[in-house]
Amino acid sequence: MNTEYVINRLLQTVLIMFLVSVITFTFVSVLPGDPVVLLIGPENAATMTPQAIAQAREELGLNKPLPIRYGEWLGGVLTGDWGTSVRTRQSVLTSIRERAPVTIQLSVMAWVISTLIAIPAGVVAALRRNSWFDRSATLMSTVGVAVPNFWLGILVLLLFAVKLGWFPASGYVDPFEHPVQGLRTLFLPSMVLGLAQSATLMRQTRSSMLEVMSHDYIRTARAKGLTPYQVTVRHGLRNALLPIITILGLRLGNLIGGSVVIETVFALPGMGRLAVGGIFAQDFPVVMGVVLVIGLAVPMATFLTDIAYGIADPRIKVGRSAS
Amino acid sequence: MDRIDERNYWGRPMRRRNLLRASGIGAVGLAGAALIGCGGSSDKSSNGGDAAKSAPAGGAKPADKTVAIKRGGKLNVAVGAEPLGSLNPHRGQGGGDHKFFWTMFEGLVQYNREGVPDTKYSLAEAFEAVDPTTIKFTLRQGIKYHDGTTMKAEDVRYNIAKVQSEAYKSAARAQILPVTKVDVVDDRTAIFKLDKPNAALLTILGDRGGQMVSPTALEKGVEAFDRKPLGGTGPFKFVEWVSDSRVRVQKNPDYWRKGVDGNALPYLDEIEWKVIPDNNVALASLESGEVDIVAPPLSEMDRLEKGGQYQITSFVGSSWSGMYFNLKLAPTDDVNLRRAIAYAIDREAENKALNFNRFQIATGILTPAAKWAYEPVPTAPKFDLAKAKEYLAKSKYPNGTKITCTIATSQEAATRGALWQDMLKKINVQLELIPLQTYTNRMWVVQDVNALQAGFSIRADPDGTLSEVVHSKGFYNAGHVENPQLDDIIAKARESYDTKERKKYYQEAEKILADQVYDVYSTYSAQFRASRKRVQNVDLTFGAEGKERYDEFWLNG
Repeated sequence: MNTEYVINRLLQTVLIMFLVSVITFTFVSVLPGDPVVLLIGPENAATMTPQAIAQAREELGLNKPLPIRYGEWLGGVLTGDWGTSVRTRQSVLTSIRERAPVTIQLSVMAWVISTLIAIPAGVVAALRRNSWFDRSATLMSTVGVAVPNFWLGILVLLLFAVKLGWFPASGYVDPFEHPVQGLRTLFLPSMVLGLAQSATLMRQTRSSMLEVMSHDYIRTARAKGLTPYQVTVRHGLRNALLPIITILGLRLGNLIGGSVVIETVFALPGMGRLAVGGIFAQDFPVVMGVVLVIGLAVPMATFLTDIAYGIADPRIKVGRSAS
Repeated sequence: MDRIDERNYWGRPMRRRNLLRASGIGAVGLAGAALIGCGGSSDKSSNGGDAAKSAPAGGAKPADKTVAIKRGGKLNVAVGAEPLGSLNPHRGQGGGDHKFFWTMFEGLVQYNREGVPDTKYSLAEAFEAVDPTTIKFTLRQGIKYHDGTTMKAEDVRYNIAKVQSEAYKSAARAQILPVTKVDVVDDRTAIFKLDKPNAALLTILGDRGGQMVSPTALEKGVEAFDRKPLGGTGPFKFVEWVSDSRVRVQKNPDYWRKGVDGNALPYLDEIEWKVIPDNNVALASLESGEVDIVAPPLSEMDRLEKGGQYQITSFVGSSWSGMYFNLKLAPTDDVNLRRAIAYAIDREAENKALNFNRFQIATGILTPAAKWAYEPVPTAPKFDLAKAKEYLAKSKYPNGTKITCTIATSQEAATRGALWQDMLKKINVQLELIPLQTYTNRMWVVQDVNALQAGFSIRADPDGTLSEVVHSKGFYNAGHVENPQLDDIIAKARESYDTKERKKYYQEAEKILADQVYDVYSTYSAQFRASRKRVQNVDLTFGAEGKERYDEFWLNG
């Protein structure tokens, strides 16, 4: 990986972040409704003097033109002041710091679950093409893509929490404070999020493996007398990995998006819920803050994917072929 | 100076002789009767009205002394949302946040479950009307805030001034403005001066604006107090608020009110509200035993009632829903057209389609939650197509017309809108729906639509509802009602300290509203709670205003 590549990537990320923040800021600002009325309540606003209302607008910086407000927000972000939530009156950075671990834990756990399900299932489906396993896996992946998260979430809750009582139905416990209880609270939401994600990954693994397994070097490996495991994993899967890694990387962004719904269904206090609450309340500092973090996470995931290409296939020099 | 308690205060005529006569017979008016009804060891159960269908709540009744009360334990309650912005009752804005406030804070005057100011629950052990615009409050002795400081009369002046100041940004500011001055006589006596006689004020003081907060705690930082409100006098003390996850409070060992067992309330050691936005998931949490109380989806009520596994409590009338007419724009400026529409709305069908028949059919602007002031309005329009057609024929639009109506962008609003469209088609009135996020503004500010399909959450005192919605200067007078007779009735009701007289005024107002049809009242909302059987005293769930209270709950197992 060369320095020029890293700098290019960073510049791209900054450009993307800038554009995303301008678009989001404009959208949030032109939404109908007045954040001042939201902050002080409509009845109260009716009894306040115009001076007091003007002062409240000034405190929120709403009396300035949009580009200046954006500039001030950007200046604040660069100096570590991400603003204060209009709705909760809490610092945006504090809110995000409190919520980010939940979303990260959920996403990572869902990512691990989906990978553990999808890759072995995809490999077996490819090796046993047209078998009952392949057909079942195909059916499951179709269902996984088609079924909405929130509905699957409710079904899983009814079965595992209400009927069987194996997992709690809602709530969050920090796994770093209470590991067992924490993992129990995260398991069902991660599974639901991971199952939906595993469908695409499994299909990709299957088709990638099918293609690789038909190559001459696989026949050669078999002819050399290697074990089926060595042929499949070392020669087959390793060569089939590149498209799988692409999907794995892209899915990180999807996972954060999916967490918006899953956090609401399972009552997890993550960034997804923060964003939803912020949007409904036209709480632009919060919406901007969350968009900024998610906006950073997606290019970061792409960057990590690029690095993973180089590890999976040493022929790829990151910065030349992948950039 | 006449020393009176809340009983004769509310029935208090203006002259001393009448007051003494009133005191002599023990109670005057409905307020007095209500107080007699709820005297004794504890409160009688009160659910604020009868929902169309609701099973009786189980559990031991509060006055049932044969059941030994068990102290201790933690109550887990599912809530749909975290507190909105602040746990300081003065600054909090969420309409559903009273359940948090009421555990930690108390008012100088607190109303009982009948909506009547009652010294039994109040931080003032007495309040006296010195004259129609002067009220004297005598504070209880030795009440401690959760920060360890002791409540003094000076704190009353501090709290009122704080709520009234614009910089403090209290959502209750407007309600407290009628208090023009607070004089502190000594550590236990404060005197309020009002701008004019105001019978609603005592009840209003029982709401957020009249809650007492430790000045010492507030002076440490108003914003910090929003998130860590350790400065009330209530039965529970704040422990933690984890955003979008939970709020926890624990027993206040210095609390002053006594339980039926003679020891200090509360019975519970701790309450935890778990924030669960989806009410189906909340119900699953109840069924898996993780929470004790939930607000179940209406669609599940039949199953829960038939199953008999849970206690169901209900409250009717926290709000009404219906339609506001724009009286300044044709064709809704025609009273006969408005009457035709009001008679064409099949309220029963709406209740069935939208609310699983769980709400109550509305007849007027005051709901059953207005308690002493509520009476069904006999002259209220009800579904009658023949009458609707009759009024349409009398209107300027005998062959029908079109009206525009803004609605919220929710699924519920769209369904109600579509139902009303169908109903009004039968009298040839075309209802054009305009779904908007800012649907109220279109009616209030732009004023180019004929109607607004919405509702109104009732206020603690009936004056709040009438003076805000149908008074010519009311903030929520979306339809631009300008009726001097109605304004006069509302003013007279506010200035009268005689509950019976007030009720008569409100009935007069309701008659005018039924005749003029400034709004269509279709249903009174109902709230339900399902609780596990280990929770006792669930009959005391809802206060007079329909907000939850847990101060006398206890757990049996």
